[in-house]
Amino acid sequence: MKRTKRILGNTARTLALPVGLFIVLFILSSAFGTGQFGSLASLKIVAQQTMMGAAIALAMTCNMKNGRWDFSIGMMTVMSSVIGGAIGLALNIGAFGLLIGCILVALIASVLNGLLYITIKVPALVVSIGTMLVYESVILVFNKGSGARISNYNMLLFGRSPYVFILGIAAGVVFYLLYTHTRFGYNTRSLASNQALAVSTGINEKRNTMGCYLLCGLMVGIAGTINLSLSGSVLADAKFNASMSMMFEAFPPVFIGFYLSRYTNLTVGVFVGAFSMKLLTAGMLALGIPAALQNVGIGLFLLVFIAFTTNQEKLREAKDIRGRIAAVTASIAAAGETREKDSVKVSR
Amino acid sequence: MSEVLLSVKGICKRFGPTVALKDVDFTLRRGEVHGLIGENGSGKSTLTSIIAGIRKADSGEMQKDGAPYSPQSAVDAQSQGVSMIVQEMGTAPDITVAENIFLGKEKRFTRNGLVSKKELNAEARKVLDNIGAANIPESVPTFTLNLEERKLVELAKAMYEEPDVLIVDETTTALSHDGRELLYAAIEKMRSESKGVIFISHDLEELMSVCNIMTVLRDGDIIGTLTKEEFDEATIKAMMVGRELTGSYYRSDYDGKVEDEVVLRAVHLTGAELVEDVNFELHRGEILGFGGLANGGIHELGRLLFGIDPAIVGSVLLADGTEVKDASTAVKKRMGYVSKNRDEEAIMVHASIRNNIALPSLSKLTRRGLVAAGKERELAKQAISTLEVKCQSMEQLTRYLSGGNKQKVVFGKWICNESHILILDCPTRGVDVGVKQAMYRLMYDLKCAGCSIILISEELPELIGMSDRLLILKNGKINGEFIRSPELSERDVIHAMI
Repeated sequence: MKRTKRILGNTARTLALPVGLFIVLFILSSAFGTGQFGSLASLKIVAQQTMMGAAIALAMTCNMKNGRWDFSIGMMTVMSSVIGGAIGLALNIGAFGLLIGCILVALIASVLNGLLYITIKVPALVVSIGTMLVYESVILVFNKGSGARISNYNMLLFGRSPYVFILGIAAGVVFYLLYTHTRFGYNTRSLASNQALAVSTGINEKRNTMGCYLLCGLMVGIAGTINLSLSGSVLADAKFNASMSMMFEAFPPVFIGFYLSRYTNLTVGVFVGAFSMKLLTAGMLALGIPAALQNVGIGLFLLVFIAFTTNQEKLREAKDIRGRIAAVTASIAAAGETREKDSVKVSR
Repeated sequence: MSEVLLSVKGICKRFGPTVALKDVDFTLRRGEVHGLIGENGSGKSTLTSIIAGIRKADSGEMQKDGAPYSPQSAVDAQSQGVSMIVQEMGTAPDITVAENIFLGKEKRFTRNGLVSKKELNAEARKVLDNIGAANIPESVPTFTLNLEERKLVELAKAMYEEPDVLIVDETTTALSHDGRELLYAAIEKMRSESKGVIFISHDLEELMSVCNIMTVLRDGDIIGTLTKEEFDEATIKAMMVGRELTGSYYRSDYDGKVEDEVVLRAVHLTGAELVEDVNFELHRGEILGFGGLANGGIHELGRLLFGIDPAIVGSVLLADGTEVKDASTAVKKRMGYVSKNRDEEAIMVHASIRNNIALPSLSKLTRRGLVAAGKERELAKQAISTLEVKCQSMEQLTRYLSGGNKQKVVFGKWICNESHILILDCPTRGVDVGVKQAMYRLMYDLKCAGCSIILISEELPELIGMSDRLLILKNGKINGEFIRSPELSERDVIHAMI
């Protein structure tokens, strides 16, 4: 009974954010909106986009948990779509050729990031800014900067329902198993929690770091596949527009995932976070908010969310303190009255 | 004489220019509970961390059961029968208790590449039950446990491999009576099974009671080894510090003389945690002791008095009527606070001795917005010389100092700021007898110079030995007051604590 109650409570807390967001946005868009929000068709699109957002967020998660920020993830996703698309076409084995091509490119890029981080011993963030510029040049040079365009319907299988969901959920399951149930995952979590202890226990930090970058590459490759499959074309990113927005849009799901991991598995938390963010974007679109302002909305949402989750404990403590102040004040007053009565008795 | 279990020959270890161990030889025999004692920085923890595979020696060799022994990591040492409970926190907070117990050993629960959480938890349950820690849940994140429970998780982790050699490094200070009993039971089990234990503690009484042999280290050298029959407090202390500890350990006067002037007054002082309606007055030249159980509110009281934690009811008032609402006001009014958590709250471990000492005095060292470097150096030099801080130079980072010398730097920064009210929370925690004696002498000298001291401690002999007046906190409230007297015994005080 207690276990069932706990599970139900945790499920409610996990789903509170997307459900709450949906209700608020539905009411707002019904009252003031210009577009359609909340229909099955629009929710299906949100869910499809969630798969890509979640894959990019999962790519970030392992490294971020260990304090390694990777700013090249957006550019890696674009590069995996562009070069992976060409490889897929060359392999000529349909959608799986595209998947293999994208994953291969992303793995190479991510391994390069990992090797540079381990070898030159500079912060991961700095390494990733450097490699982001390199990858941007590679995309602009590759095929003379024409990006990727695939018109073969069969090759774009992973952009259509139900395959996009199968691929996205498969990415989630792989991440879940690796992060939660393998020695690699145990080591990753131990290193994130107490690095010195984990290293002195014999955990090979460098090997684990490379493992995290490999996992990142795998997830980026899946995101790159979905990215290309959803639209059929990806432009070479000359001004970081697409890649930057991909990367920054992936941060909120990671933070939401970290917070929700107290109630559910981290992977589920990241998916819930990705879905919530896509829901928010769709809601803003339905409300007629221009694209430029949508980022402001996402930024504000992230700030409010982090402020709330960071201070949640303090708000709870403040409530407890108010109760304690009342109790102590009453007790002091009562003790004062007793002393007064006693002194009256003595003086009489 | 029983069989040699572990031997260490010619071990040397340096940390930069500091020589931590000089050609050390050490032998542990079967059935021995071998105490290691020495001043802070004498090399005890370095030696045992090398034996436990946490650090590598620069030179020398080790043998276990007559075979060469050279562990590559703590897990390797454990697999060869050597486990250690470390002095600092040896658990990862964000993973579960079971995951901590089997950290680095998940392979044994892995089937087809996946770790079986069910098996891992079941095995952890058994291990915890075996050491008598049935109350600790195995599947919760470790940060939800208190300090003592986390130490017991480390004990469970160490005992799981059924080691031949168990190393216990300064663990008992984190344990309550019940926790210590569990540890002593594990040690006794090891002894009765003809295994070996290396036991490190600053508590000489505890060492003399638990160990059957003791080795004294000083400045990275083995000074001597004593058998149980040779145990003698004065001899051991003399071996530790290299000279006879003359004079009384605590102050010897019993007049409890203080001035009438009240320098600090706590009025209905209540904190968000534990401390409730505490009222007292601190007089000029008084050492006012606060004792009680660890969770009785004494440490929280220290933080409230210095303004680190805000009072939710009541106030702390100084002689001029100033209310201490924050630490900044406290420092301006020449108050000083020595936290129990030295490395986290009392000292900047990545800064130099000079920077640490000068920090509270910056306002008096500053001219036209610039810190006068010459004056700063002079101040640091004076503190280092007065407090006899063992260091290479005033520019040395404090993280390279031993525990006792770090504590001297902490004292130094407040003394240099001419603090006339000092709040000392466990000031002698984790320091050796030599430094302890120096601290007590310093406290008495400060008292005689008119300084007022609030001494918070979990050690009753220290409180009884040093305080003019002793207040006992129980459940956050004052539950007893004792005036300095030669007749005052621990038994009288304990009655008010429990």
